[in-house]
Amino acid sequence: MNMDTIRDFFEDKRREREQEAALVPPMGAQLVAMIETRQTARRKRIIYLWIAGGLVFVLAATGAGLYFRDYVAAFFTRMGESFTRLGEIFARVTENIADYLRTIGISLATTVSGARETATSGIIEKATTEVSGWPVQVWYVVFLVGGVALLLGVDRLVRHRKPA
Amino acid sequence: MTQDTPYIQKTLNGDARAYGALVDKYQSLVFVLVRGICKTTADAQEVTQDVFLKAYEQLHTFKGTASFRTWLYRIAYNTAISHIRKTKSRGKAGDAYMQEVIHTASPIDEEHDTEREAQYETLRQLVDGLPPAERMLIELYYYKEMKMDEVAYICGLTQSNAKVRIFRIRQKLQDAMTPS
Repeated sequence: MNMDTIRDFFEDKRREREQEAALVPPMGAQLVAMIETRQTARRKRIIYLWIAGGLVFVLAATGAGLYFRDYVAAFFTRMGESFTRLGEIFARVTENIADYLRTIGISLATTVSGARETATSGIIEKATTEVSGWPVQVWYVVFLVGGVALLLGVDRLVRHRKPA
Repeated sequence: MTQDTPYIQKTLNGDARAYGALVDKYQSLVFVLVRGICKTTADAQEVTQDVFLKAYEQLHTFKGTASFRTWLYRIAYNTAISHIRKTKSRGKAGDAYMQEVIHTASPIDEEHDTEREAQYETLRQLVDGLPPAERMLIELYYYKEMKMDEVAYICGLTQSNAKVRIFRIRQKLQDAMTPS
């Protein structure tokens, strides 16, 4: 008795099983059908579970809501009050910020335009009084110089453009 | 990238029919492996079917580090072992298998000399007496195209551990066969 006998034994055994295996009909198609049936069943089961879960949740929520309706009502009233209070605080803060910004805006506008805060007349009067004053003329000159510079710049760009 | 990869990809993309082609290709290999410890052909067919169903469910875990065949063998090994644990029909399986083998024996087998047949008979009894895990290990070892690292991977052992176990099993068989 040697290792070759053991090897021969296992090889013979395997050969016998291979002969047996050759007689077994192919199971590919059968398995595919089984897998597809299982997948359909699983999908259905998942859908049913979701529906059942949703129903249970709705029922539980309704039941709990009815059972604790007093607490729930009190809770929502308190929530409402809190929201109202929060809204008031928010409105006050917004108003304060808007006031502050308006003040800054007015002071900036008066500084830039030269209109003085001490003027007692309205906006039209202010404009007509200030139009002959030097600040407006200074701005005319600035815009004129700027316009000329812009035109010269464009002219230079057009003349020195590279062919495409 | 093996020739199985397109089928695996298709299967993973939801095409169950591509899996059918893989089943047809590997059905015999799996059957031969699990037949060793199954009571009847029908039993082996059932286990083979289970193997392919499990493989389908776990296909997303197949990373391609081993070949698809080796990966499938590993599933087959585990499924067959758990099947034998469930049915606890190890003792009966041997008898049933032997009876079937006698009926389905080829003419070449019949020509074997009586001494060899006696040796085979003793070996059969010894192998059937081995625990299922050891039986599958030694059978995998004697699969002509199976490398040691593949055998170790299938059985969930390290290569050195598999070598030691196989050596012990072979020694055990040889000792039992050698007349004292």
